[in-house]
Amino acid sequence: MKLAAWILLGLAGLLAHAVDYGSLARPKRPDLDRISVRLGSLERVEDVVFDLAVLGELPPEEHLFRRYRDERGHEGLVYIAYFLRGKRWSGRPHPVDVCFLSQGWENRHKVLLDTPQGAQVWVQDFEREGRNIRVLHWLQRPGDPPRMGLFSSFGARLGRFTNLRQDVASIYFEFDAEAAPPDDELAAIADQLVRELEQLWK
Amino acid sequence: MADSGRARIPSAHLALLLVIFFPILREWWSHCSQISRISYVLLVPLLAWGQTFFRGRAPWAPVARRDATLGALGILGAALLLAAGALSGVFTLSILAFPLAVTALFLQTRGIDFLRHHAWSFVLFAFLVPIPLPLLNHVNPWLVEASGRTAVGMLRVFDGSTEWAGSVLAFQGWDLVVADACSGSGTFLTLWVLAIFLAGLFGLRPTIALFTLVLTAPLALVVNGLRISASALFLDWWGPKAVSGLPHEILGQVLVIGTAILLVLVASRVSKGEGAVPG
Repeated sequence: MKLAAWILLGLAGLLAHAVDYGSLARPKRPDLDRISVRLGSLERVEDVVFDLAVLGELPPEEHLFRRYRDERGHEGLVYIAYFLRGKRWSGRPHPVDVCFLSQGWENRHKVLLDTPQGAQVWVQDFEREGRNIRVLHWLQRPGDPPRMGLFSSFGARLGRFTNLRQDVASIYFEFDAEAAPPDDELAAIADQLVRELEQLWK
Repeated sequence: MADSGRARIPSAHLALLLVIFFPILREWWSHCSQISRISYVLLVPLLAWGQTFFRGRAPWAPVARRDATLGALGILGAALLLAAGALSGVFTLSILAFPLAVTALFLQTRGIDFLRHHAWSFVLFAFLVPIPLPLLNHVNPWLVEASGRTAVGMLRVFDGSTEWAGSVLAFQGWDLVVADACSGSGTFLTLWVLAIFLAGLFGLRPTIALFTLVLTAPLALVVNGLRISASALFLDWWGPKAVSGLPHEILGQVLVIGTAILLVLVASRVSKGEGAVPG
């Protein structure tokens, strides 16, 4: 019994080493500049330059901050942060709504949006000092489309050895609430970006 | 092994655990040293180890068969947690396996009496597991709000129109944005761990120890309120440079250390009052 327990602990340790060093599945940094200039109904306006210090204590290894405009002339922002070593429950990366809440935004409405390609993404409305914004956000890991349920997310990870990678991307779009694209457009935008990112880090 | 009574610490087994858990411990060190509000966990192993010296050596006794079996079950539990953590990518599960494995190792090799003798150290050692950040993320907005309101109460002595909105403190024409990192959760968790350390050090009775632990919550709130108030006053007196970067860090550390000293004094006084014997 004693020996068996130690052998099992040793095997678990080997597994932890293999996952940690990427022996089972190696992470790949995506070149985020290759994200399309056209995402669904959105067209790129410019890449936004900002002070990297605002990325906080655990900055991402790759990021993209871009301004987009839709056919009606409404503008929005997209932010993609790629982390080589994302760990669930470790705060790296943390959920996007935490950032907004900590900056004084109040959650007004939060709904899970199912996209035609089978992904699940959050659509959330925030309000601060009379300003209302709509944020589309999700966390994406290599492999299957993002799913928000804990078990479906784990299921996808365990489904294939190549999904045991540690890299992760956090993505959000921000629009003024009254100028945000409707849900079906948001879903199409999310699907396209999910697909493109999957190609870039395959 | 330890059953002979000569080997006081199962060093070879501990070394083996360090090898098995190396990637997890490396991740723990790297991750926790980068996030200020959970960096307190880096001190936990040292505090727990130090506490065992204050406690003195546990009397040696042969290890009962039942303890060895329970210890083996603990090692098995740690193996399952470690594997689950690696497969799921949940850091908390992986790191949780380490204190469990260490505790199980001592149960297996030194018996339940050793664990009882050093109970506070083992409890403290478990706190090397950082609190899951999603949990903290749920508490943080509330802590920021409570700390901000506390600061408003303090600052109204200087400026009756001081207001708090969202996470912004309006004072004397300045807007002070209170970041998530300044929610006070780091202060609270640090004081919480310190309270457990002191409870073991002064041999406090469980009820008194619990009281000290509960005391850390309002204490952390007041300290954080003071920190925000002091930042607002420094901002008004000396401008934005006085409340960012190093001065901001120093102010935070001074207040936490001051509160820790206060907590030590309270625990010391209480322990004398109840006639507890240190160690």
